[in-house]
Amino acid sequence: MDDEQDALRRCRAGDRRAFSLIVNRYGDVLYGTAVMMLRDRVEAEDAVQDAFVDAWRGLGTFDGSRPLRPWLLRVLVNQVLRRQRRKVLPIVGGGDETLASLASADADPELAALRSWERESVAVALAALPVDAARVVILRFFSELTVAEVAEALDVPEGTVKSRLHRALRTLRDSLGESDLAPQSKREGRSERKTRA
Amino acid sequence: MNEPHGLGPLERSFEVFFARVRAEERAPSDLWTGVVSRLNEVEAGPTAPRRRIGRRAVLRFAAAASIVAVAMVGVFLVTVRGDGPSSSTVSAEEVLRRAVVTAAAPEAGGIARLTLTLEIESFATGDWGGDEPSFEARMQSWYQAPNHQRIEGEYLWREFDGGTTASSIITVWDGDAVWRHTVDEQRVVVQNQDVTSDTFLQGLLWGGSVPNVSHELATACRTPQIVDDGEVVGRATYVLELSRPRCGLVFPGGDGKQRIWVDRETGLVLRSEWYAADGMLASVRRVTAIAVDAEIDDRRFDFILPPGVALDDRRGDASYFYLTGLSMPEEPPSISIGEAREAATFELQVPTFVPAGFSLESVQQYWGGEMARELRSHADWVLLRYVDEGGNWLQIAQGYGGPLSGLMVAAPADARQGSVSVGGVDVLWVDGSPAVWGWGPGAMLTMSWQVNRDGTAREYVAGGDVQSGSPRSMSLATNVLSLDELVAVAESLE
Repeated sequence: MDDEQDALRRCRAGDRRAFSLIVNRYGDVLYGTAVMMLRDRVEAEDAVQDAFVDAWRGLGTFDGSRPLRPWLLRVLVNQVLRRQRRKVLPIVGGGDETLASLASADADPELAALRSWERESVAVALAALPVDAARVVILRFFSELTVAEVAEALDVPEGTVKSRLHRALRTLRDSLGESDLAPQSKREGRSERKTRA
Repeated sequence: MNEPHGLGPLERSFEVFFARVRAEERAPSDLWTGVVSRLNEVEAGPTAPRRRIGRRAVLRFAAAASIVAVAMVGVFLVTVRGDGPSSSTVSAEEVLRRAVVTAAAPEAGGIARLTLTLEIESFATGDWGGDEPSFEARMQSWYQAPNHQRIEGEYLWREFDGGTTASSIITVWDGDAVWRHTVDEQRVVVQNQDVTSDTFLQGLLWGGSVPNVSHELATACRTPQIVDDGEVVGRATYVLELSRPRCGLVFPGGDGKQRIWVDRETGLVLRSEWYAADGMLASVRRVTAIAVDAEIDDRRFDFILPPGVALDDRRGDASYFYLTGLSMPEEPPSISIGEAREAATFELQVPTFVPAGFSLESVQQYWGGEMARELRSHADWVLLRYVDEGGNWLQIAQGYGGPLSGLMVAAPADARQGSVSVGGVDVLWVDGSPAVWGWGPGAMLTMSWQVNRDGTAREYVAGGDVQSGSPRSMSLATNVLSLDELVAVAESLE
């Protein structure tokens, strides 16, 4: 993308307005990925903001001949991992994190209803996966990274990604069952009715 | 999608599902504004105002501030102030409270500035049959109320094979951030300063425990007794002996009695001795020089990044501090129950019952290398996390060094709490704990108990293991289940 290359060049020269193009272009995929992984929109927003800040500061190390999207997702994953490390901590000494999380959890029923994907069987099955496996599935199928890019984002070998993916898909098939894996047209019909306008 | 994959039923469901998520989960419209704001703060450097206080930050701050304020006021009101009555007219509890208040907020002890040097000697407990592992530290500290401190320390670990490891660390609390410069590694880590801590200095002297937790532990779990009058660096002290703990989180070497020398005038702890459960002296910490309220150059509390060092800036993270103020170790990977059973040094218990809708999300074994090394203690515990589709959670922590049981005794006075029998064991439960970190009533229900209190446990030391008496804790916590449900889960552990 020429405009992206141009924006990157200007970013490296310190032009913040050029960076807004990057943020606007990739904000949605980073935010969606963060929401899927963190299941917490406030936390996701923070993670995405911090990821873009990290990206801005790290642009000097980014190889401009490579695609930007996987690199940004890698930066985001680092932010997500930091937050997920903390997420287990409330029980062991932290606490404010979960307090805030509880207080901010979809208090608006209207908003919660609109985002009904969370009650879909796929979402439930994903949430039941071990976190490592869920990350791989999300990056592969939601963020649409290749296996190699997922490996790079998670800093693990490709073989590890493949084996995690294989196990995750097998688990998901088992847990979802035939009834939840309806033919494409039927699922799409359901989805369209429930999707926010 | 960049890479073709077979579109089976699952993949087709993914396509539909994820397309819907993409449609519903769009970045907030003010994302760019937020990024610019963060960039401004980051680029302005550490002396600039802190990052924007968002919804979450407000909650954190409000919770922490209110808890700290309430705790400090409450404790302070019952504190004996003054120049130090004689040991015949003051109770051990009062001396202890005084020490705790001063440790948590030196200003409350009348200290605006403090300069001191201190030495620590810790010894591994147990029979080593040769060179005894030990830890020595010499530190100089400057403190200025509130929240400013500098500690320059030289540390020496002597391993059981006779080898030694030395380290030199400079830590500066500038009121906003904590800068930790490991000189030998040419590395600086900077983190947000914990708003609930005024100084770690007394934590060092006290023996590695956060003072406001120590207070609860000390008063609830240990019996204090004034055993003598003493003098340290020319200052009159009470010598307080704290009995071997009956409950709560303690570390090997801290399992036995403690002695602390409390400055009569200020409440500062000037010397402490830790004993292991078998009576062996495990650690001595002593002030070797002290100047109260002497002038300190403000520049002591400005950390200037030396040229050539690597900076690890973690100020974007909220600070999470384990009991001793150390960051928690890195998150271990999720493993299987079988792997956890194999890795843990204790017999892992798993519930055969969890309430409907909950399923196992992750199994993690914490073997906190850095924390263990710094504490010269163990941190071997396993966390089982169960969740339901609504994101509600049930966590079961068990092992050595699992801290929840220690925090539970620090529950707020207004928290609902009690005990219940689980399999013949008295289990403490608290609704809305632990208070010291800002939990609100009803936010979390926890129950906790100890097993193997007087048995043997594995203690971590660098390069090997040693057996010593130590508590192993079992802790259950949930954000949604009832006490009855928690009891049912606890009773099904096997």
